[in-house]
Amino acid sequence: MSRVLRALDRHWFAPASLRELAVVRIVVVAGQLFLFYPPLAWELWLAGADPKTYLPIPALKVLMLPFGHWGVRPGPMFLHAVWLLGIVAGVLAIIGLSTRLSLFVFAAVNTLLIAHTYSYGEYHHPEAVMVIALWVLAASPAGAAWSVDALKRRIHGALASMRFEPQSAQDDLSPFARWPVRLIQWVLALAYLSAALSKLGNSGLSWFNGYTLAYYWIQDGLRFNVVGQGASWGIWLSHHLMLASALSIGATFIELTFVLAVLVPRMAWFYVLAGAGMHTAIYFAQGAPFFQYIVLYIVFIEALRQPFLRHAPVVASASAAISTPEPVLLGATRHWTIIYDGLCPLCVRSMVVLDFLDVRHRLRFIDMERDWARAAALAPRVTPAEAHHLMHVVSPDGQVYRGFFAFRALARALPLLWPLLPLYHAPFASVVGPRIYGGIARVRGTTPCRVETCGV
Amino acid sequence: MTLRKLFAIGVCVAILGAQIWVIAPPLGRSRTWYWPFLNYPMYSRSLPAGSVFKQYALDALPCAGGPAPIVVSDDLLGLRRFRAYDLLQSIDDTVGSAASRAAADSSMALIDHLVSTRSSVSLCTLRLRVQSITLGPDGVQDPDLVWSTVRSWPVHAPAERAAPAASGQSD
Repeated sequence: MSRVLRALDRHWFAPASLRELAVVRIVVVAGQLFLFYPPLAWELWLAGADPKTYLPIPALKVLMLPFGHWGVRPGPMFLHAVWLLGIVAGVLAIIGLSTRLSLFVFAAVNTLLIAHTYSYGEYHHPEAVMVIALWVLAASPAGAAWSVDALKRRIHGALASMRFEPQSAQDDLSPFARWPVRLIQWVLALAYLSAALSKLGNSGLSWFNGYTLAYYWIQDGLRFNVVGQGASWGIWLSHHLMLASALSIGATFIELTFVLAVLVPRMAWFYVLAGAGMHTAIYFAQGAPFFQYIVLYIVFIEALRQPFLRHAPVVASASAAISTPEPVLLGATRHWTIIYDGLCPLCVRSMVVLDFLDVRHRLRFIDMERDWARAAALAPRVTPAEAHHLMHVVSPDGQVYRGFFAFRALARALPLLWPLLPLYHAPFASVVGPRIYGGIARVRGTTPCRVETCGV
Repeated sequence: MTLRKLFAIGVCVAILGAQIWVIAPPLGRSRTWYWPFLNYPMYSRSLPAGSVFKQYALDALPCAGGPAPIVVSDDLLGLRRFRAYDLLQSIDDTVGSAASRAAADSSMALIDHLVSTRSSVSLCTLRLRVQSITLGPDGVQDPDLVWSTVRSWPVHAPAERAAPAASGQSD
């Protein structure tokens, strides 16, 4: 019994990456917001439909309860306000500002808007798992990494102790980062399992006769000719019954065994590719857009990472840095090393931000106040006075950049700063930039940290 | 065991429990009441050679007369696509039980109501037209798609009709 419990504990609570959970948050919320968010025009059109066609589903009744009686119908003004609120919440959830609250609001708004569209006597299936996933993320520590919240926490901690510590691989692991992705994986697997068991339970092997799939292709191709080619494809397929039969078997096999993607992680890539192919084919043939499922495959990120990285060596090297942080190498190194003043609050804050932006783990940090010997060995021509006055960056090939030019060099090394490159290289940037930097450096120089707050 | 872990376990058990409960047998019927917890039985009915697919179109004759009937679209009715299809299908499906005839009457009542309240043109007669496509042993037979009128009825004032019944369908 205890072995089973231990296995279950490992399955749900083995330490996993908070950053990967954050990637799931960003991809799922961004996907829902930018690709699948219910159009306002559609909500308003339904709000104007005849009251006799309004058949509210329980989810909508529950969410509308704070705003009126049981079963109250949302009006156009209310829907408009909720729709805008959802967009704000979605953006905040992506950047990770008040992440938990934003995720809850985003989940609630999406549930309400989608439930509203299903309160006119018609249901569809693509949104259901996505809505569940949004609620799961809202209940999870999805904002613990790669969020403004996490950055603010780190800055606050660093300033409170007046000590900057680069984030280590251990900081990224949490036993509570696994259950949310596992749960979404299982909900996906159960949805597929339901589809497969329904086919087999209702029709048995006759579902694979070829006529069945051909019929559904024709039916949806004609009824919901969304793509424009559905009808002709369906009619074409109806003349290739062996192909229709083979596709029926393939689709049911994927649905029935999708659970293996959860239980045998090295098989996840197969099911992700097969599932994405299946949904794309269904869309083009029948117009049924199950693209939410493809976005939700991001929950297999941990299992997909290894085979993906084998084929992407550049990213692989960065990923290796995540799992095995190297000590600072003096001399030849592929890292950029920043020499900063650890007694300056502004510098400490900047180092936290740069470490936060360093998704490829290219940066190493040397606090000149605590480890001048290493700084001097790496950049022998830099004096302590210069290092106090300006931030210095040593490139992988040993070149030393100072002040504004150090930031400009870092902007090349950190992909998240690439949008700033045109600004850094704009005409006169080399003249204006150092002056701005100098001004800021002088200001921070006039507010030196006190010995007791610096802990030195 | 920490409170945080208990919370996580509670969330997992509640969500998986709800999902398993809705997909449990019997497998044939849609369980949509507990959305977003759904089962997925769509397209699970097998079909043999000779199956006939019907698609429907609704048009109306203006009271003022005119050269051609007006197409009554889903937009004009203010109905969602599947809902409109369900209603038209139920109007066509009157061969059989009293229940199906009652459903047809109810659907016609709703369409009457919607046409008379939403159309800017006064409409007197509605016509349901059908296109039948047969899936033969070698695929679609007779791809020359011909429309035929299967039912026509006068538009009544809303007060003359009973309340419509609910319907639903899903993909």
